[in-house]
Amino acid sequence: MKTQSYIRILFAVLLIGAASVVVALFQNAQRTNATFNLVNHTHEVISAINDLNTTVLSLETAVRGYVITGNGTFIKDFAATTSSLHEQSQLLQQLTKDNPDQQSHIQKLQQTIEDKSSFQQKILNAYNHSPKDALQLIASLQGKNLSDTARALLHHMERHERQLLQLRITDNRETTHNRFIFSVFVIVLSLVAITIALQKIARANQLRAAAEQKARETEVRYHSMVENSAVVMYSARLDGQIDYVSSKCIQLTGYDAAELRCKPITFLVLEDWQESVAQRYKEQIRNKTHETLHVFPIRTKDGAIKWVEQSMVLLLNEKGVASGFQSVVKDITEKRLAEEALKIAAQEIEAKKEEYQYRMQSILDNIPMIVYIKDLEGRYLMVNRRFRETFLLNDDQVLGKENSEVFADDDMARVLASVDRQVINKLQPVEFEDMINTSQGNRHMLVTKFPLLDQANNIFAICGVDKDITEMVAGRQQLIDARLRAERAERLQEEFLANMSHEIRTPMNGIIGMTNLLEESALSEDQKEFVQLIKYSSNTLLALINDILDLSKIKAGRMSVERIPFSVREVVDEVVSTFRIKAAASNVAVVTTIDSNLPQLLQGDRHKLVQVLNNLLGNAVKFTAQGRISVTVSILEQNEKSLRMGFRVADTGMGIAPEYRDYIFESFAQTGNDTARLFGGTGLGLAITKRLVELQGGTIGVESRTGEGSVFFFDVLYLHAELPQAQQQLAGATNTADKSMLAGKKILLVEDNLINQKVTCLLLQKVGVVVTIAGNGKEAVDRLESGETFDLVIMDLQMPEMNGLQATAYIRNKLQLQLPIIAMTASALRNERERCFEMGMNEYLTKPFVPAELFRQLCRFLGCAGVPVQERVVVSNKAKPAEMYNLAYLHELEDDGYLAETLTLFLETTPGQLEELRQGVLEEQWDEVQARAHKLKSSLGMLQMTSMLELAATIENCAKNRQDLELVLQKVTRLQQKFELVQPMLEADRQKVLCPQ
Amino acid sequence: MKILVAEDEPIMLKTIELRLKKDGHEVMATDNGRKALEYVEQHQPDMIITDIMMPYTSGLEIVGKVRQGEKYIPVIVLSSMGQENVVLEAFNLGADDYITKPFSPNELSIRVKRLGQRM
Repeated sequence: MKTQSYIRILFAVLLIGAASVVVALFQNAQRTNATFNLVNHTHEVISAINDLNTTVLSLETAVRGYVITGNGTFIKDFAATTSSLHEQSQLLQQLTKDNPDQQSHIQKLQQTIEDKSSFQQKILNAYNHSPKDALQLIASLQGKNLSDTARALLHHMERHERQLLQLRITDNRETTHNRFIFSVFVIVLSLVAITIALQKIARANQLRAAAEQKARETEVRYHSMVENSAVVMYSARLDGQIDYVSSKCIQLTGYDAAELRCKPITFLVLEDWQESVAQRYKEQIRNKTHETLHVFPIRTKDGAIKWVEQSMVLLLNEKGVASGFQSVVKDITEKRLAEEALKIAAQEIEAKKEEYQYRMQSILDNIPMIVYIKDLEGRYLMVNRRFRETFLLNDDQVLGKENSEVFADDDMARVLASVDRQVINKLQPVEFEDMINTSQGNRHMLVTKFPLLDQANNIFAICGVDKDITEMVAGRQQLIDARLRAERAERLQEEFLANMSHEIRTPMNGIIGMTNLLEESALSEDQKEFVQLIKYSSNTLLALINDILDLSKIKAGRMSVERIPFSVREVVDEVVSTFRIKAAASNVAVVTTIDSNLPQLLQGDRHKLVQVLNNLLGNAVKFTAQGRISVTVSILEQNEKSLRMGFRVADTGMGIAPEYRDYIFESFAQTGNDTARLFGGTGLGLAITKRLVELQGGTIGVESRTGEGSVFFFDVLYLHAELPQAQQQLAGATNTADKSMLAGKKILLVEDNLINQKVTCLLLQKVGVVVTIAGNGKEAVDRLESGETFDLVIMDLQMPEMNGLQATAYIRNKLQLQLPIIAMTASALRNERERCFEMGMNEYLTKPFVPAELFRQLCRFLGCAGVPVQERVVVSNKAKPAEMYNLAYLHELEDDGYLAETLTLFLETTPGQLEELRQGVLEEQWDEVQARAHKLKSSLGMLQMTSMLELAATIENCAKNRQDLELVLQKVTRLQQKFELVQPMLEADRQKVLCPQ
Repeated sequence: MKILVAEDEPIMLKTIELRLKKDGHEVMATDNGRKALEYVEQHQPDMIITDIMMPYTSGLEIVGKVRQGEKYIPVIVLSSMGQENVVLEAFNLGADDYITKPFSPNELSIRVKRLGQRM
């Protein structure tokens, strides 16, 4: 549009410009022409003036001349000239008639001329009369004046004319110039306008060209879009006939564009749907709805059914009348299928969900446990059927309420609430047992409460599961009772063994001891023989008792294995020497071969080795009538920690019949009843030996040939001794200690059995020892406390009032005395030896003791020739025992009454507490155990019983974490034992406070 | 000062009670958490010394409840060996000090005095 107006403007401008130029030029030409004419005119005027002037002059001259000369030639033309003068003046007048100034001049001139003419006439006339008058007239200057005036006038007019001319020329020039400038200006303007317009036109053309190009491109693109789009587009006439379809239709329908053109819209629609589809569009036309969306199925060329979504736009022409349709068709078959599938899936999920919920509900309702959910304020959110049945409550009575509102029992509600809080605070499950009142009475419930966490791991509710464990508890109680009984039985058995051992060995000790003493007294020959027989019998009896007790002990699993340094070589020599004499009686030699690489000391059980060798050598000697017995000791294998020793006892005796060989290590088995009668023996020896060897991690076997002899071989695992060199010297200690050095030494003998007292006392007194006897630990302690000094204490372990361990504890901890204490005991309690050393005893002997052994020990500690005095603790691996308790804290209060009260309280309540603790462990009530252990810690700590405190703490921890529960019982036992040791000392302290002396 | 002592072990309780009485304090000794809380409500003690582990009501609960009350009552908790994490919890709840059993009564006496001065 703009272009057009531009053109119009341009045209107009051009036109105007041209017109004005033309006009200007024309005007210019005209003006020039005019001026030219004017110039001409002026020139004519001027020439006319000049002519006039000339004529005037000539007239003048003529007259003059005539007058002067009287020649008539001068005036011959006078009339002609005068008329021409008139003519010329008329002409001049004519020429200047447009100029009023000049006209007035002309008037004057004409007048002058008239005057002149008339004068001249006069002159002429005058001549005719008298030439002199004429001359006078000429001389009167009148004529001259008139001529001058005429001439002046003419001159003036000429000048005027010339000025006029000049003006006009200038004027013309200016105007021309202006017009010229103007024209140029206009031309330039026009040119500029033309240029601009042309440019604009050019650009407009360009743009149009570009636009056209774009339009073309767009067209192309559009076309291709239509063609390439995933949807099919078509347009249709109002009557429903398709007039254009995009080529994509072939993909959708199987028909190409040509086939579909001129077909009705409903051509492809599935038959059943056709009617409704047609209806819809008719309606669209009727309602003039701009766009509709319709989903329906179509049948493709090959008969397949697809679902399409058709967007139909109603086209309206400029008058608003429907003119046709434009449609976009989308293949939604997949989508529809997907939708169908989704719907089905959703239904399935819904169904599953329902099923799931149903199952959950089923679980909750059928679970034979009470399940409930509470919110964080403790209000019930859900309870299951069991809950309702158990408490006979329905949902209304429970949901939204707290425990205190639901249950009548305040205490219980409070406890439950605190457990809830615990769960919330710790975000951990809490489990506890409690008696809960239900519709069936008080039931024992196991309550487990745990937090329910949402996806962000924040707690949103607490869930509780209560299990009725009343029956289980009852069952458990039975188990516990059974266990208690078993434990009790075990304890009884242990006690029995210990007691039996003690009970039997004590009188045996008496018998044998007395027999020995008797032997050394003055006797008649007969008496000597009797004594021998008594000795023999009692020894046999003792051996039997020992065997039985040993075997029982082993079988009960109560036999412990020592681990103390000793010399194997020494043991072998000792045992062999014992039997050498007996063997010699049968002319049987006993030969020993010991590996030279054998270390001086090894760690193991000396006693057992003695026993085993005794047994084997005893047998060898018994069953070898002649020949030799050889004992070989060798190292089988060793590493830096341990060493396996091999022993062989070979004899040339009667051997063992093959049928018995497998049985000889069984109890009571012997090679035939005859053997038993012939050779005696209990038949237990090898059985015990076998077990002793096996207890030490070894094996035993036999090779034998009847009539040729037997070889018994066994191996034992020993550990390398750890003691420093100095101790090695000990091993070299011999039996040949000089007992004489014992004379004058003061020994405190602590023993409750009168006979044993006598036996030991006499034995010691024989070598000059000063013996003081104390009947029990208390007496011993009193003596020592009162200031009596002794060189050594021989302490029996089992005594009334205060036993050996307690007394030792007292002496070491309370009295802080370091004097050597040797335990002498008939009891056979497990780990007793260990405990003795732990308590601070220096040595441990069993009753009945071998006197030589006793003396040897005494020499060790009291110093005899050949044996260096031993530092107190040789074999104990503990340094000075830590103090068992400290009353410093109690003393801080500086109140005796308080002190006494506290000590009493402690002494009275602790045994009960320990027993309860033990009970708790046996019943496996670990929470109880934890609580009781914890409580004990308080008082134990108060009395600074560090090692007991640590034990209690360990017990508490194990119970709390439910770890290492198997070890807890033995820890409790140890705790009880330690308490037992500490008891007498605390008693003494208490006494001191109550009755200070 | 009026001091409330809650401790379920009799010897410990007696010791603390005696020690504090000797220092001239008025002591209310109880082995029961619930009674302790009642006492707090009724008598508003100047200080509370409580064991942590007690049946039914733990020392922590006592600390918590006391902190919810109007008056600020300083609290010392008694802890056992190996209960360091519980002590931290006590501090979180607002306990002012703790002392580990076993402890010297003199030490307790000094702590009580210092805490009393600070308040």
